[in-house]
Amino acid sequence: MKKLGLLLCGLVLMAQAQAAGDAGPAEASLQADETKEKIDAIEGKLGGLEESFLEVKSTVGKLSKLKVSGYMQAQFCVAETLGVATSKSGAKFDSETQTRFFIRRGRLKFAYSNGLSDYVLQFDASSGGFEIKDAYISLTEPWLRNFAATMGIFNRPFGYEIAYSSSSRESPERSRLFQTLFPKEQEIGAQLAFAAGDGPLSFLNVKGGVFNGVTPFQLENDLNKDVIGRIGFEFPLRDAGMGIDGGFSGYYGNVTNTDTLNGGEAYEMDGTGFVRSTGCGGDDFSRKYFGVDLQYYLDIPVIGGATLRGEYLWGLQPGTAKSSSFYQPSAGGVPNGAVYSRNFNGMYFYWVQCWGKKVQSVLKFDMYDPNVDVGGDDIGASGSYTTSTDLKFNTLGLGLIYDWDANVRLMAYYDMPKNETSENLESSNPYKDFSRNLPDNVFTLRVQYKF
Amino acid sequence: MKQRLTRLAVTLAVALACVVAFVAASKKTITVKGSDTLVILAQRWAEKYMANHPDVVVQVTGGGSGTGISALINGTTDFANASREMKKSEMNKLKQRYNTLGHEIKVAKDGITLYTNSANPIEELSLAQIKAIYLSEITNWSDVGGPDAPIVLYGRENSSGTFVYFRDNVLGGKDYSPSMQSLPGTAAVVNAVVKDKNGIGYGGAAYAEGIRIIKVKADANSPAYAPTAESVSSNQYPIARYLYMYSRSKPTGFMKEYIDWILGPEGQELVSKVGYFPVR
Repeated sequence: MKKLGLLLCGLVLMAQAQAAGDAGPAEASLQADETKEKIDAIEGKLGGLEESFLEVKSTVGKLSKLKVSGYMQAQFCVAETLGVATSKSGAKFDSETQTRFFIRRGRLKFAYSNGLSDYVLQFDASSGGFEIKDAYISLTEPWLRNFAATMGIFNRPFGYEIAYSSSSRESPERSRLFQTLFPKEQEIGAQLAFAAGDGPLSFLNVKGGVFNGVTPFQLENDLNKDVIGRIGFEFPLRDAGMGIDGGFSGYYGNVTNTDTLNGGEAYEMDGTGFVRSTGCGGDDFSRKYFGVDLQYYLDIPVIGGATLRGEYLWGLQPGTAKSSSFYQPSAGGVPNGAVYSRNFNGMYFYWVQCWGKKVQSVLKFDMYDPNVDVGGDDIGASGSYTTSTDLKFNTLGLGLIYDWDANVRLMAYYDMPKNETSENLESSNPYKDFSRNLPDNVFTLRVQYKF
Repeated sequence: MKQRLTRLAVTLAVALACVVAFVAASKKTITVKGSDTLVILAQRWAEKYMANHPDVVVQVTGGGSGTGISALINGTTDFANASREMKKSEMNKLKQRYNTLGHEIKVAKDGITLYTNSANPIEELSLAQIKAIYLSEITNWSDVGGPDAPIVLYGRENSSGTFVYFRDNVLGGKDYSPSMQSLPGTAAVVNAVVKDKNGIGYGGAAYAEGIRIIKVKADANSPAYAPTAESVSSNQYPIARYLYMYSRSKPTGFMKEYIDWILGPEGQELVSKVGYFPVR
């Protein structure tokens, strides 16, 4: 801007000097005055422009603190048979349906960061409806910048797969274990996190918080708060072309029985069956999870990077007769039924291999046993109160991912769940005949756009 | 039938030979993007290397260390030039997308240089004084032994690795004074200081022409050092740093040959010629 001004001034001066040379001294003096006036005017305009520029720069600087990002996943799913697959494998199918198109995710995220404070609001608009996913404020202390406090709706600080965005995940859905224990990844509460930037503790990160424990949009119904935390480590061994990360997680909480039948029923395992208790309405039931996770990254020259990733969880889950997901105060707007407490375990394992910079292959295996105290034909035995909810599932998945460009990802994935069987769960309804492995494999073809 | 098969086989063989010939004849391209501090050196490397290796094309662009690393993550460049270390958040993005932590190569050493106008009589400053100047706690040259004139601050944009390194290591992680004018590239900072007798700027040592180079003291009682080969390589100069090239995976084939050449005698000789300091 200044350069242009000086050039203009120079041209004006040269022209004036030429003209002055052709005229007399009085005229030259007059022209010099005029020239000075013109230069003053140009300088004034330049000053004004510079001021405007600084104003615009300041405004743009503020806007640069606001980051808008998002992604959309549109997919086509094919089930092995009519109506048998569940959403755990990527899509639900009505009884007369075997294929369907749908929008799995339509996320839009706004994040404003002022260096030491962050505001995040994320929405999801999909075939399932519209909902808030993240809504939180995070504050980092200004002295060491190692501690951050967060309050609002955000990912539970447990394990690895919860926080691993589905836009990056190499399979259509999280493992059955996480889908069941943590339906919706987010919870409402407050969290304190520690992450040392440099120094001897730079390998360590710790997160812990207190949460309602009834999902973000259910009304809290008791005096209990759930405590969730993870101690994580990261060892980047860059010179060796590898990295090892991992963590230990814990969940300690309670649910309150809202059942009204017989004063509130509750069922706990004794041997291979449940024992019923009555008069338990309003009682607290323990919800305890423990977890270990490990991620190993290896750079394989010429071929590309590989990741081996696994997680193992175990604990005690208060659920219901029909679901091994955690017990919620209400079901469909009315008080929930009896509490069923089950000891569970589960794990998943991924092998993700890059082939160059565009293609990745994935092999995934996950296992979830909602009730480790009973198995096989004991499930569904008369008087045991056990049902198909107590069946174990092993799921094998194979997939191929192609990154079209920096924004577009294509995924083809075949999910093969295998349920535990029991002769006592034979049924004329083909969708509920657990005396055999249900034909519930699902093929998913997905296109994702991320920005 | 036999004739048909023979014809088909010959046609396929010719087609295959054409494809092989095309691939063999096509040039090997290496893309390098990132640090403006490194861009001159990277261009010199590319020119010299291409002159001796006509089958290789090396494309170099600047934009800042952050821009280069983003391009590496997005898969739009083979190497990212950076005048700072890769951040943990950037490494995590590489992990998610490519299952690697990125391969780091230290290619040169640099002393971040403080520039003033040649008319400015100030010869040395301590780190504490530089910090106070860039935080606008000191706003007049007379407070550091100079003339009674306001200090005009010039610096880099936030995509620059030099911006980040200077903020983290000189300003102790604090934000720059809002009065600092952010300029796109070290050359622009030097140009601004050349024209402004009250200006001060910072950048790579290779750009320090036509301006005064300020000697830097670790503290008020330490000796002051200019960014020379000796002071930088011995770490006596208080704001010495490495310059890096990053790739997604450990380079192989013609990319490895290029990196080996950069780290070899020819490549490192160019480092000195451009004004930085060799790592080997």
